[in-house]
Amino acid sequence: MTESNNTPNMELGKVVVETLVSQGLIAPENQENILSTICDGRMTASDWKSCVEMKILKDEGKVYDGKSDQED
Amino acid sequence: MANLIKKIEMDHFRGASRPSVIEFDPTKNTVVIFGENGRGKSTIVDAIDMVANGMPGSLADRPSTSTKQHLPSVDSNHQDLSVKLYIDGMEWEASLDGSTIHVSGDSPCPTVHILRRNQLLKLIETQPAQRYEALRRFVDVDGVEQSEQYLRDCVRETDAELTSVYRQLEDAQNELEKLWKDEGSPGDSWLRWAHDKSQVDISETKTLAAYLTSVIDSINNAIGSKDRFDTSFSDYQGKCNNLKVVEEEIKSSPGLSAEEAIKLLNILQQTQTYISETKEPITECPVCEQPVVAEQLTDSIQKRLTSMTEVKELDDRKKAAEKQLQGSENTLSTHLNQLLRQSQNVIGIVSENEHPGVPELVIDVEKYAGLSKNDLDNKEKHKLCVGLVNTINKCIEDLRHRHTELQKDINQHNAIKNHYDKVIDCLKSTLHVEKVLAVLQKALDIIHSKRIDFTQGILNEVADEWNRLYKRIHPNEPLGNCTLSLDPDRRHSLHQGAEFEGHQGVPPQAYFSDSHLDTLGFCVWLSIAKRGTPQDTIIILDDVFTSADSVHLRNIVELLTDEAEHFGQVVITTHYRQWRDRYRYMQSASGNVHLIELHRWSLEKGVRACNSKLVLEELREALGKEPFDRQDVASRAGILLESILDTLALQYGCRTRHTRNDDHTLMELSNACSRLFGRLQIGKSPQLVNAPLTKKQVREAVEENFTITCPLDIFSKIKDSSFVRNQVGCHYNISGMEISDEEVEEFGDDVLSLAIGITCQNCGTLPGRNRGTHFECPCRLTKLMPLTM
Repeated sequence: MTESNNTPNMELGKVVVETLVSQGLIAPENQENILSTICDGRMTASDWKSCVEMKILKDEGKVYDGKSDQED
Repeated sequence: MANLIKKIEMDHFRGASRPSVIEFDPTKNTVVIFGENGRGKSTIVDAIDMVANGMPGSLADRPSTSTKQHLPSVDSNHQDLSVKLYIDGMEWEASLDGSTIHVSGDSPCPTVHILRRNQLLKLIETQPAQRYEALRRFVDVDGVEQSEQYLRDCVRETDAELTSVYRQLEDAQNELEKLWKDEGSPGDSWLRWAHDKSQVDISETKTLAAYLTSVIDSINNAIGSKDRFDTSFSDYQGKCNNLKVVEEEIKSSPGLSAEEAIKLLNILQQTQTYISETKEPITECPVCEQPVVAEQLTDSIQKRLTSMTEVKELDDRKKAAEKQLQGSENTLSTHLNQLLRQSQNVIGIVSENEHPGVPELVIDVEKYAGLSKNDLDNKEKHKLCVGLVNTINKCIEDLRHRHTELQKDINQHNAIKNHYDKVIDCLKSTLHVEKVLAVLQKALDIIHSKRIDFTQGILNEVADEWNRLYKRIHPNEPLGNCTLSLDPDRRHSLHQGAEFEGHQGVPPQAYFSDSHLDTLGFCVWLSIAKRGTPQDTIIILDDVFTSADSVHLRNIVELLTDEAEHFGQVVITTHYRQWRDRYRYMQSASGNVHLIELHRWSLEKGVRACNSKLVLEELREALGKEPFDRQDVASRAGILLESILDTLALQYGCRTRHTRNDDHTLMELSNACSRLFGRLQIGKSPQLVNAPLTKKQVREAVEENFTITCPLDIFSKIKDSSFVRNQVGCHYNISGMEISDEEVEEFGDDVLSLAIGITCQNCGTLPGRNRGTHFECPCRLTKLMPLTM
């Protein structure tokens, strides 16, 4: 077999991202961007961290319009 | 139908040494290409592989070959090579540029999966990592896996960050605790103490310390200025004494008075200079205008100057002493000014003293008011400065001690505050990083478990389908129940296990026969190929089975008949004549199969193909042929009749003579089947009049009532005239010559009628599938009853 078909990445990526969102670990509004980034293998360590930190800051009410209080 | 290969054109490609066109029937989704070894089967498959997948086909698995050299046919080079593939009105063309394959076409080529025999072995016999590679594209989640690895890195980095924060917190706590203990452990805890201490306002202390710093600096400057002045003054006095000594020496010199001698010396030196610088030698004295000889005058002057050497030395020493004295005076003046300025600065700072709480600073400012007045001379000002310096010198040590104490308090406060702030920052950071780490770890657990579940889920589905297919080929055999699982400790490693004689999880390659391993590999490949969108997929089996016996081959053919409907197209190449003949003799579903047969290959002619016909069609054509070929009709009818009776006798277990090679005569088969035909009934769907039917029509048709017929009469008639086959179709004898063409034609027509009556006009198969109460064909539109004799 020689034909390449990369749909498993996308299938799994959807399952993963939906679970992460439903568990409240990442923000739903980032779902689409994160899905493609994860599936492409481009979700780096710093991306993961900023994504999670952003969600935590948001949950703590410290984020407004995508910026933290510190940045403001 | 979608995604059907309709035509392949090859030129100078592998075995296609001459332009070759292979056309597939677009109304049938299964193509069986039969050819004995070396007739070009793999050439056709490689051509499809090259266009559809951009791959060099079977050469890819042969390391000693090169694409550039061996993909073109043996008498051509890579520029001559051309392959075109036509699928559903679109076409793609592949060419070779050196070793690079170029494919051009309207759009991405449909998915084409190709299975070759060596890949069967890879799937089953290779190492776990290579097995994973064979299945990679179906379970390949490398993108997600890479992101998971980054997440794992992130967890590790965050964990290290947390450890660092813990360490910083511990260091800051230890420092604070040490400071607290040094202070005698006041209060309940070092943390409370540190908090209280860090809140204390020490701005006044800092201001006082800064003031003291400026006071001490100014005092130090004044003291330094006085020291420098004293040194300069000593130097000045020394220079004065030097000049006096020289002047005394001049006065006490013998002969001319020193002043006069020095004046004369200067006149002589100037005259000597005048004479030496005139252009023309002088002839008279420039002073008295008396005649002189220049040389004599010059010699005379030189002699006199030489006699005045001591006077000259005294003059030089005097001038040097005067110069040194002048420099010393200047330095003394500068240092006096500095002393005055620094003293005024001290008085200024002390006068502006806003910190009366500095008892060490005892200076009567009014006493030194004259320093800033012009009516005092330098001597008086110097006297005031000396008095001031002597005064402040007495309090400088006390001031320094006071300043040191203040600075110590400030440093202590700063240390406590810094460490306390660090503790608070670290505590905040710890909470945040702990929270981030927990979320990251949870995300990692989720992505890891989902990936494992996802991949294993796919593998389980593949394994279930794999086992289902395998059971179709090997029913009632104590082996199978295969499993696939990823190695949890190794990346990209796939394990397989199977059941063998009641033992679970054994490696099949250790116990299964070659034939079983072949079918095992085939089934796993087919089950994987069915994933995704098989209806848009073309699968090609390139002479995969080489060790299957006739029973298993029948099962494989039936399996492919059923599985073909899931795919866009199924292309099978085989060197098994038995495979081709199963279709030709309607023992397998031939209705949806396009049979192609390859001619003998030669370099001059390349790959050539023709369509194979069913024996039923060949008999029909022979009957309609003019002039009538009686031998041909009798022979073809006899063979077709034999194949039908042989199939029925085997299917129903009709009693006949037992032979080692199953070489029954037509008469033996007829006799064996006589009792069967006495009871045999054929059920046909009324929809068959419109055959071939679509899949939907077939599904609807099987629900309708079947028309039942009994073939006994025509069988009896054929049996009575079956001698025609021997006497006309097979042998030379006088009796055969007495048989008329009409009798031969009637025999042929009857056999043709029986064949048409007993086989399905939709799928082209003699019903042979046991349905419990009857046999039916694969499309279920034709039945044979009863099930047993």
